[in-house]
Parts: sequence; C-alpha cells; structure tokens
Amino acid sequence: MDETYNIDYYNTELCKMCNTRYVDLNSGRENEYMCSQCRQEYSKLKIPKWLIVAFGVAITVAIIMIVYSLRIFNTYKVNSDNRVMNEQIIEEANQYAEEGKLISALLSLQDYLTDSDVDVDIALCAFKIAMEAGYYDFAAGVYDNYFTDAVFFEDELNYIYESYDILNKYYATANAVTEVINEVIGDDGQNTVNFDTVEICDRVCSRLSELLSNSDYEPNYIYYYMGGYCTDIEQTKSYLEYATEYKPIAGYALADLARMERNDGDFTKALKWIEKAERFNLEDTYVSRSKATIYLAQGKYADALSIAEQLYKDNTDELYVRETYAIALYATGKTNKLVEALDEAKQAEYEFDDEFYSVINGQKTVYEYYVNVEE
Amino acid sequence: MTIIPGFIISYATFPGVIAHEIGHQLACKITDVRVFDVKYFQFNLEISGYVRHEQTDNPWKQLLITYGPLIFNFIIGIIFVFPLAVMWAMSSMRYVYPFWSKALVYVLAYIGISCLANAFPSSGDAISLFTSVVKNKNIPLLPRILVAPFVLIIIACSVAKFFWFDFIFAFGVPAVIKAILCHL
Repeated sequence: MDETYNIDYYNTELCKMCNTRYVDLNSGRENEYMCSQCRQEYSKLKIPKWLIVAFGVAITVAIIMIVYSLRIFNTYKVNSDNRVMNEQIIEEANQYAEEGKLISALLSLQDYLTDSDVDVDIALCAFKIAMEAGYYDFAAGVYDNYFTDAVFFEDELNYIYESYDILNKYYATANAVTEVINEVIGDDGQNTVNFDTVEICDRVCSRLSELLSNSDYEPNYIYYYMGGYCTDIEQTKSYLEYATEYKPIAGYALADLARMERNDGDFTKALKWIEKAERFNLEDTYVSRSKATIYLAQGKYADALSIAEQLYKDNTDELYVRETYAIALYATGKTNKLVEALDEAKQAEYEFDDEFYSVINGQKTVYEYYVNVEE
Repeated sequence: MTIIPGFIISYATFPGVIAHEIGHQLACKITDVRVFDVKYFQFNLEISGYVRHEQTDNPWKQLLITYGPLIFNFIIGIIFVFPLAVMWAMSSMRYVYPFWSKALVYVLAYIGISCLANAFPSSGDAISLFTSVVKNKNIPLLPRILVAPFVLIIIACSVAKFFWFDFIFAFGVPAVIKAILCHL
C-alpha cells in the first residue's frame, strides 16, 4: 500500500528547492514544487532575528519620538492656549482692514503689541496691515520690536524681506528729501528770511528733481514734496497726482488735491479726490478734515460738524482739526460748544490765526474762508 | 503626469516592501498557513519581494493573507509618521524642533511613508486572491461573491497608483493626524 501510495503521490519532477529529491504531492496541492523534507524545513520559516531586532529598534525609537513629540506638543499647546483668542483678534483686525478702517485695524492690534511676549501672528498681522496701508513707521516699529527672534514660515520671510526693502527705500527717500529741504531752507528756516520765498521754493524743487534720477529713492515721494514747494498750481496738481500712487503719502496727496479743488470752488472734483482716498482708507484724519472743509464750503454744515466732531474727539491735536471743529460749531450756531472748544485750545496753548478769528467774528463768511483762500 | 518605473519606487521605499512581506507572513502565521519561502527584498525589476505560502481553500484566510500588508503597514506606518505629524502641527504653531530630533523625525517619516506607500496589496496579490478564491470552484459561491469586491478594490488601487495614489495616501495620513492634533 505504501509503495502504491508513493508511486501515486510522487511526481517525477525534482524539488525546486533542493533539486535532489522528488516533489512530494502528499500535501494534496496541485502545484506542489517541494519534496517532503524541504516542505518541512520551509514550513518552519520564521522572520529572521536580525529583521526582528532592526524592526524592534525602529519601533522603539518611533515610540520614544512619539512620547517626546507629544510632551512638547502638550506643553506648547498649554502655553498657546490663547491661540484661539489671537485668531479672533487677527480676524477682527483683518475685517476692519477689509472695510477700509485701517486705523481701527491697527489700534485693535496695538493693545496686544505692548507685552514682551507678543504673539508672532498678531505682530505679523499688524506689520502686513501697516505695510498695505502705507503706515510704514508703524510697520518699522513692529519689525524692530517683535521680529528679531521670531520664527517665520518661508512665504512670511519672503514677504518680510520684500517689505524690508520697501521700508529702506522709503526711509532713504525721506532722509534725502529732508536733507535737501534743510540744505536749501536751513534747519531752522533761516534762509526764508534772507531770500525770496518763490526763489527758495524753486530751488527746493530743482534740488528735489535731481533726486528723481536715483533709483534708490521713491520718485512719488519726491513728487509729493515737489508739489509742496512748486509755485505753479497746475504743476503742483500733476506732482500730487503722481504722489497718490505711493501708499505712505497717498492720503496726504489726495487730501491736498481735494483742498486745491475746493479752493478753486470745484467741489465735485474735490469730493472725487476724497472718495478716492476713502476707498483706500476710511479713517485718514487728513482726508476726513479735508472732507469736512469741503462740506463747510458747500454749506453742508451739519455733515461737516458730524465729521469734525468725531475728528476732534479722536485726534484733537492733528493739524487744523481744532480750526475745522470750531468753524463747524460756529457755522451750525453751537456757540456754547464753540466757547468750550476755544477754551480747550487756550488751555492746550494752541493759537489760531487771524483769518480764523475773522470768520468767528463774522468779518468773513465760511465760504470765503475756504474758497480762494489759502489756509 | 510623471511616470517613474515601479522598481525605482520599490527600491526607494524598500523598508515598506520589507514591511509588506512581513505583513503577508504574519497574516499566514495568524491563519496557520505555512510559509515556504520569503524574499523580503530583492533587486529585481519585476518583483521586489514575495511570500510563498501554502494554498488554502478557506477564503477568509486567503483574504486576510492578501490584505495583511494593508493592516500591518498601516498600523506601523502610523507609528512611524506620527512624530512627523506632530512636528507639522508644532511648526504651524511656530515651534522649531532641534536639529537632531528633526533629523530623527525625517528618518522615521521615511520609513513610515515607505510603509504606507507599500500598504496596498499588489496586482500579484489580486491575481492570487482571484485564482485561489473567486475562481476556485471548490469554495462555496457566497464567499466567492463576497471576496470578489476585495479583488476589485486592489485592482482599482493598482490603477490609481498611476496617479500617485499610494503616495497621496502615504502623505495624507500624517496630514490628517496633523489636522486632528491642531483641532484638539
């Protein structure tokens, strides 16, 4: 029986593993390729020890790293528990910025920029908004105070480097312009005493125009100051129009253009410049004040007062804010408040010019004060 | 679409290939199917690793053996890529790892990504499952029908590999872990 069994179940092919014995078909599998010895031998096949050791070491290292990472993660997460709050602050600031309320956006962040342990995301958000709004002094302050040891992602670093170049150009131009003006006018304006004003303005313009050929300087910034010293009104307007393209001074340039149109009595054009400025920044004091003066010249006294009142509340000491507010109070007949405002100015040792008093005393109309009259 | 020959990917992700074969082997061990020959890794243009084992008429054992690497590679892949996921989560919080731990995380991540990229059963596994179960008339019809979709899944995954599905999956796992950690 055994022999028969063997004859039936042994194939004539040699075992593919040892190549010496015949293939054993006792397993009952169709494609058997091993002899019984090899089959027994290979059935014991186990994972090699070296592989188990290597695998064990790798898994152990991985588990140690998991524990290590999670410890740091938990510690750091506890430290940055206010992350959600910071995200809300940033979201709120970005919302303000999107609405054109750039000052509100920066003020909402400024409160959180006073601690020594400032969140980098908040500092970066403030920096970005300031750069986009053209508030380069604010941006430079954030850069100097909060970016030194901070960790940034690559795209953020690229943005910061680009902004750094922009800031450098801005300050280089500002310094060059100041230097030229001081050189021609004199640090204390002494040259204006000895020379004709028109001549001095022409000299400043001419010296500033020399800076335009230097690619290290921002031409639109230079144009703004050329506009300030130019004695030809049309030329001034064209310089200021160039300047409107440069964010840090765009608000000033647009407000100046509006003021010039108001002086000429073209209120439609003046308000168009204001509209353009407000599309960019709704909270520019200089622009808002110009808008209030246009309304005063137009006779829209209530509208003017509402703007001037807000300006006086928020930025009392900004240029001509006290004048505009006082004239708006005078125009609307709010005498008590006017007296109060004048008292406050007196206490602050603020001096109004004669022309202002000529309006308050009724020697000049508000329209005459704002149209064809230099402020 | 960049097409890189499969053998280059197998060579580059050899730890995953080794884990894949261990996955088959362990599944054989669990199902008590005897293994005759294992090649954990070899420099071969067609097959970089294999496990030769006993044929079994039990469809569920065959299914487990075929899908063994998916389970095994997935589990150990997660263990190896977990530190990477934590590091990603930490970097989103602006935490910088020391150089040595960063390097170690990347080494572990390489092993983990390799394991995850090689987690899916191969087309050879699909053929094996198909011939030993779906096509095997000795097995009752119901299990054959039930196993058939698993063959289709493997084939679908094999096709998807042309579109880098294996690597999308491999990098997707730590990305998902990171997302979970960030929302904890």
